[in-house]
Amino acid sequence: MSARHELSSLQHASRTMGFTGHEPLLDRYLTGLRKELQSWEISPTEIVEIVGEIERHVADAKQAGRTTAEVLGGLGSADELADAYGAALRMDLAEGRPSSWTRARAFSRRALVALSGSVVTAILTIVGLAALATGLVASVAAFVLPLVPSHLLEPTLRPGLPQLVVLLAGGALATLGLQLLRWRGVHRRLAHRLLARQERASIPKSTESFSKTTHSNVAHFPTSGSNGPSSRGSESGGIT
Amino acid sequence: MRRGLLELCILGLLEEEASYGYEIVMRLAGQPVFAVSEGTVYPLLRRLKRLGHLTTYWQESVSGPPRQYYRLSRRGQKHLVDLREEWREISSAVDALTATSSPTSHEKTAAENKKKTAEAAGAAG
Repeated sequence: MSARHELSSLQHASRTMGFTGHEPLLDRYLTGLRKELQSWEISPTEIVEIVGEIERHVADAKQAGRTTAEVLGGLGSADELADAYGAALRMDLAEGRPSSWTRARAFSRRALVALSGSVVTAILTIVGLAALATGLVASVAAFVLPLVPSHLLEPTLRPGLPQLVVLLAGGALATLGLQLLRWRGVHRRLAHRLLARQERASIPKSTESFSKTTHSNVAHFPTSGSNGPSSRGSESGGIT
Repeated sequence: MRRGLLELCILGLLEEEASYGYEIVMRLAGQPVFAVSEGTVYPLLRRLKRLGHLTTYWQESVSGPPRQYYRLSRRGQKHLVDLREEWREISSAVDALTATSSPTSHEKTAAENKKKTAEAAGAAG
């Protein structure tokens, strides 16, 4: 859906508001519908559109002489209606047509995991290598510096600490460096596993999606494309 | 079967002329055979739009809020042709199975009973 079209839809949806007046019954219904739609992965823009189209339906029905209670009764309860919308969306997911909102969310989640993984890996690598290098240099220095005549050394390089302390500190730093580099590998594997799990989660479980539809309005909903490949190979299945 | 027909009917309705949600709902509700709930049609319209079979445009209404009109897209027209063809096949298959020329077993039994009754009546007479 283009941004221009979205804006136009939202503008028109917002212009619908007020035509039905402020009726507690309708307000409660629409609030319930909005809340139920949010529990499905429906984008906020689409929720506004859906609520707008239901409000327009009520306005048209009232013009035709029906009461609000009658119209809402015909639409079914707010959660049944939301389930019907949600199930229709799930059908698209099951057919491999995720909405742009779902695609964007999945992409941003993967990007976040990948980015945070890269940052942590980079920090572990830099700190690990620095600690390892410092530890090795300190350990070597602890052995070498006492052998060098002190007049040949710069004053800053003259050993101020006992050789054993420097050696232990160097060894500890080198070990820490090695451990950090090992954790980097573990972290990388964890990030890959997390990404793979997200990938699996983004594949719809068709059985799960249809178990919910049987209890909703979608029990009377066309199941195009959901019952396996159409003999005709049409876009969304056929009459089943 | 009835569920899939709803999609065909909506596309068929919109092939004639563009229409808005309430009008489509009322036209379908006018056919009791479908037993269509009003809440069933809107998610289906939204789905058909998402699949690219329908497009929408806004039109001012003289008495109420602006209306969103649905019309058939080129893709929707192709889909409608496919669905119609599929419906014709189903329809002729059902006709072939149900409109048989030979009598059913129930009809055969009824005819035999009638014959026996006639024979018994003849023997008594």
